[in-house]
Amino acid sequence: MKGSLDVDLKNKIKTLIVENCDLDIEIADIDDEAPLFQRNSPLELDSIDALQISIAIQNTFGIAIRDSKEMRRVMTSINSFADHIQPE
Amino acid sequence: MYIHNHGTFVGRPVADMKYYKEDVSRYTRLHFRRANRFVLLSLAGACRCAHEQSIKKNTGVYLTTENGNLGDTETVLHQIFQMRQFPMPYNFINTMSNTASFYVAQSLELLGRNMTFSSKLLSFERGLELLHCDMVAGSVNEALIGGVDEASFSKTQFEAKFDRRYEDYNMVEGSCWLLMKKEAERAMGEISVVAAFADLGRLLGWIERQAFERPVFVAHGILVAPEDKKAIGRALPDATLFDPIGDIGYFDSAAASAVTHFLQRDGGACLIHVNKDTRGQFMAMRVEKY
Amino acid sequence: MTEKAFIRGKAVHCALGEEVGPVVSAMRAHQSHTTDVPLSLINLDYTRPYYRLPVKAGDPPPHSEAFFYAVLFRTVEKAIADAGLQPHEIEEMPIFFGSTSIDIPLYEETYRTASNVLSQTSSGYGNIANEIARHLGVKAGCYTFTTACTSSANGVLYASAMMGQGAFDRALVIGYDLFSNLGFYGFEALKLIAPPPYRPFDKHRMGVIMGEGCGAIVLDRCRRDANDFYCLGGANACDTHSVTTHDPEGHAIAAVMREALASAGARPEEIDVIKAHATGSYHNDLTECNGLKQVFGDHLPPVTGLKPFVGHTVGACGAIELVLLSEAVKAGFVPATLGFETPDEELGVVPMTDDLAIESGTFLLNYFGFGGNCVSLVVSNRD
Repeated sequence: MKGSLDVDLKNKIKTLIVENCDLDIEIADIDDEAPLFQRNSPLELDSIDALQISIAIQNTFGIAIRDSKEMRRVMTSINSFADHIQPE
Repeated sequence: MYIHNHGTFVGRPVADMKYYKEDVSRYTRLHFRRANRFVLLSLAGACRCAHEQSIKKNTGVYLTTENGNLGDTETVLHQIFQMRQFPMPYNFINTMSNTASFYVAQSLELLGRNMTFSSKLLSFERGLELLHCDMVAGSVNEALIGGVDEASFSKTQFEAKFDRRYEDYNMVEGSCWLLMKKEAERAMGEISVVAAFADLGRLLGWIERQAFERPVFVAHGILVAPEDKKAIGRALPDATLFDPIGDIGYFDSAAASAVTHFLQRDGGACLIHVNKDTRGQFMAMRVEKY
Repeated sequence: MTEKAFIRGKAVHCALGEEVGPVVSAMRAHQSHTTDVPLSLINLDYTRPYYRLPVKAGDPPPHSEAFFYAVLFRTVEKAIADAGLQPHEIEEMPIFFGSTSIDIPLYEETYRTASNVLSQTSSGYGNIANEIARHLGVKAGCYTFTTACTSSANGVLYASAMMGQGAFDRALVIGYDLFSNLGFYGFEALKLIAPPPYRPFDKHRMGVIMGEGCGAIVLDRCRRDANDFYCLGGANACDTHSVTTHDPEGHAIAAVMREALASAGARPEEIDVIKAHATGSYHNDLTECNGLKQVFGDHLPPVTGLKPFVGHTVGACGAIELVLLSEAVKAGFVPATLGFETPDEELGVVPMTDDLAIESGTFLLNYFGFGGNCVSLVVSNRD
């Protein structure tokens, strides 16, 4: 199953983001399609948060994101993130 | 150098970091998701000191510390060596203790000098020397200078370092700050002397040359020995002993704590604070409260 | 500054060697050497480059406490010997120590079998400077700067400023950072480490390559040699943009360069060469070039970066790169930015691609670090 269709996986990713970035938000309130890192995105995450999440993903799922360009592409939204972790 | 305000945050460590975040959120609108204990401690003292003061953008920040952050450094070493994983970026960035002086500057929007500085057991006094240098040079006219340290939580380390019984002290953490200006107008006090002495004899010689207009209090650093105190007492026969380490507790920035706690007392007094390091060197601060 | 602070003695121990003469010759020959360090501690199967110190027969094993102090004390002793200090001069000479890792390299090996060693054992940031004082018999004050990559640059700044005000007659400034796993894995976790070759300011730059080393400088109020460098001025300021990156427009960096020039009493057009911080990270280089353009406009003097020779030696780079630059000039040149190939239109600054023949001049040195710390120094060996 494509990651973006896997609700359990997406909840796991959201929980990981909330816990690792110490966010004061319920995972139910995170929109799967909303941009994660753009200016004025709902979570107000920045490049240091992206690095924090990337290392948390590597430690949890064993998936390494090696450079920052790839990181920006993968972490566009929860859906794109889930598809990267679980392509099919 | 004139004292225009002071801010103090000292107490027994609290495990839940929410306690510190809630405290700091009373003074700044920035939210510090990535802050660790050392950063939050620094902010709690500095923000109190800056509260309701008009702080200029070019105000310097001088954070003096004996140990800096210890918690995140341990966490990162644990992540690498025990968990065999990459260190988490938040933790790694905070191993560099100048993140604390950065967050102080960021929360108060200060673009001037920014220093994180240490000098074994004399960090606050030596930090004042740096500030004095910058004021004389004209590169800084106003500054926040603080002493920040986490509580000592290792009995072995404490006893090896000081040759004192751990149980004899109330171990606290603290963040004690002064708002210093070159300008005397509207000041509440001043630090008129910060001086180093190679031995006790030279310190006593300096004390004997001091003239006092106000009642004198004398306070000592942790390594000042009983025989040193006796000799200092003889040189200052009319001075009252002021014991912030006994009254409030010990942490490695106790010299800064002595100054800010003295400033909380009634005005019209002078404090002579004598500190000593492991090399037997003395440093004295003379603080006036108008 | 009323009194000048002259560089009376110096020593450096870096990836290019541990004697100033051969290190400068290696720079002239455009040599550099990185070692591939595996990420085996965290069970990953790739390597990252690092400018390690050359291994010398008879040295204690790297990562040991004996090695840590051998490199430190040897470098300091060489600087003192170079300065020709008398025992009484050493005794009254304060120490200005700057480092990012401070004593972490001393404790890391024990973490293979233990934990919580540092907080149980380390006796504070000031400890290494005190150990140097004890080793040399210094009785004067010890000042330790922990402002990440600007640490020892701040040491130079304050030592020369305090000497300028007559606080003492001479001072020892040290920048020291040995390899630490904390720094290496930490930088990799931030995705900052580039594969070789190291190429700051290049369109295809991919990040930082770290290095280890020690630089030691004896500053003195008296000039010994007509060619000796002196500190003309400098400044420190905070860029509150972000804890890891500077304001990309470069305003804060431009302000600190302007303040440094003003404190030195130098106009921008009096600067012969700029030693850029030039870490090779996308953001740092962009910010620095924007700052340079603000200060120097269309009259930018030649710019070079020294990190491709020795790596980014983090807190030590303030002292190390000052020694490398001043000694190269005394040998008649400023080296080109090794590894640079393709100009980047976005930066709008092309660093030196050939060595510049120069024997005396006035130089601006930039240093930036985490925590928004910015330092610029102005040094000269002109009369």
